[in-house]
Amino acid sequence: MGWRNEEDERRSPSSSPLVNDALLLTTMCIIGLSVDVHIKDGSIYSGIFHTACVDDRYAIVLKQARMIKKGSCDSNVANEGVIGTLIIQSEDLVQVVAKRVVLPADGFAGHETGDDTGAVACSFPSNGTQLTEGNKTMSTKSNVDQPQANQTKCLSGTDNGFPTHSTNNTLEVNKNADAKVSTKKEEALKDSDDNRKKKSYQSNGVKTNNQKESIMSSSSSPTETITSKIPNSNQTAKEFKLNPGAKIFSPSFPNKRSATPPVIPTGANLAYVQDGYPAVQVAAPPPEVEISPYAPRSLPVKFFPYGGNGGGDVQQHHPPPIVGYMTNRGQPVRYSNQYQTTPTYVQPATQNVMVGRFGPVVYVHPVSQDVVPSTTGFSQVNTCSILTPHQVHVPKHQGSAAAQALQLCATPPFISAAGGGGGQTPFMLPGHHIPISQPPYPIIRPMPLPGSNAFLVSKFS
Amino acid sequence: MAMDGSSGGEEFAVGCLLSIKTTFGDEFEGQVITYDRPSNIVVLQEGLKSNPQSRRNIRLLKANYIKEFSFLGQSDDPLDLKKCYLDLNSLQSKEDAAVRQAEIDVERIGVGVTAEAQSIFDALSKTLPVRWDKSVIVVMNEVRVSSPYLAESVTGGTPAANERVRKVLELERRRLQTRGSGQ
Repeated sequence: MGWRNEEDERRSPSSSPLVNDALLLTTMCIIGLSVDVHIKDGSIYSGIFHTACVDDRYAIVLKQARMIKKGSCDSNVANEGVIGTLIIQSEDLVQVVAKRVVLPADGFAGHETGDDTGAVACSFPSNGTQLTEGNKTMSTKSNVDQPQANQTKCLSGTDNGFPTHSTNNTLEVNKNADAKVSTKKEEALKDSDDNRKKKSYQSNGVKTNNQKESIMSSSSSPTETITSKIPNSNQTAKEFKLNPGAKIFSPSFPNKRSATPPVIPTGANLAYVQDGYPAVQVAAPPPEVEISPYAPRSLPVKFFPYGGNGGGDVQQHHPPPIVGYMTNRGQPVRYSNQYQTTPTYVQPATQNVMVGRFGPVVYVHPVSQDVVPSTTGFSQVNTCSILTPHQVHVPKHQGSAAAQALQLCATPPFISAAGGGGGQTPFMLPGHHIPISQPPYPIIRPMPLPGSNAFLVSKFS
Repeated sequence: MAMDGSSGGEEFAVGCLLSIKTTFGDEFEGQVITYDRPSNIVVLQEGLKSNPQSRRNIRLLKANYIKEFSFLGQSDDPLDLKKCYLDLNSLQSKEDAAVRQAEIDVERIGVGVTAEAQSIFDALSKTLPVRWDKSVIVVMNEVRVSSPYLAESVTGGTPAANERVRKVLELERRRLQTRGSGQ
């Protein structure tokens, strides 16, 4: 018996049950199944496997048990009635036969019901310790482990599928999922979370890096769970939020934003956006060094509308547009500065941006106006091409949005002139612009205007 | 590899294919999933030849009731613990459903009735709503069929219902008879 004591001592620190893991797993697997239990005296009881005592010896409890074979011992209950709960002591137990069981091996998913909560890894001894470990390391690790965590998350699909015996990464994910689940229950909490996220993004505004963003957001987020969540959110948030159906899109919204700036993940962006706005494609290509300021700025602006339009998720996406506005309002000044500082060749990029703007709606204006002054200041050739779309564009939104944008972005005099011309009185524009800009400019400019004006008149009249 | 179950001192190698004979005369072949020393239980799975994803019988056998066994072969560890996970919720719902079903089934089983009575009950239940009232089969809550469950023992209910139950009973009895003789 020496080995047993040894064994006990070895196992006790991890506070695990004394039976081995595989037996425990098998036991769990046959819970709720109809089993035949052979007893020492030869009788057989059939019942539903309810539970087993694994602390000391292996005793089991059956529900709705019925004797299907009478044993040699007369004292045993032998009537044909059903025993509600039958406890079979370890000493009496000979054999448990469970028919047609699927063991959760070979990647069999034991969590098919897809409930939100309560998915529990079958209790392997290491679990508890690992979990705590995951807790401790989470905040530090999360950035590093991001990709792996994402992968495992994808594998598990829903929140409740925990890989039981897992690495720290997966455990982190689990932990996250747990936290998520708990937060999910309160919509309000969640919303506030999202808001927080948005705020953090908003404050990040110009951030061009995934990592920067995650760092920022994590630092700004108040609690640990959120900290752990946000870093992962780039990819995993999607899965997290899959459960509350309406929120499917919101995760993709941070995705887009975070993904776009660093140029590389543009492909992913496109996949997400899908809505077919040329904007993203156009905007993404100009990832030159100078353009980086544009990219973060312009893209966020665009993405808000996307979320709203494409997602069609009302609750979640109303806030984002607002944020979009806010950023726009806040940013024009900043951007105009950037623009002014940026050299001439930025404008090709701005061109693209402009075109991109073209599709999305209101938010474009501040930017475009920024561009206009700079272009007017620098190169005429570019501006010409820019202006045409610009003017066509502006009239569309003229009534409400353009005016708004104008007020916001009226920083440089140029803007007021150009934008004012585009937005308010197109007919007057030629007059405005000709004095301001160089000869080639006005020549080309008036041309598009009448056309756009015609549209305008027809539209707004 | 002296796997003397009663001594408990030796491990059953996981993955072994064994043919086992118990002290109660059961004989089966199975693969060792695990062996738990403290409880001296061997977990075996049967039906190895079938597709690995299919359902198999699982036996938890106290090793000291193994009378004899023979070693048939060795294969891989059937359980990859890293891939195993369970959902307690689904387990619980599975059990609840099973218990509920069992309770329903229990309702259908007459207490202290003969097998013939039970088969008559089962046969009647296919066409009519029936329940047990002790050893009496109650059909449609009004017609009572008491032992020996012949057409003559049908009582109560409206004449039409009574007549109908009699007919069904006779038919089912005839069917049972032919089935019985056929065997």
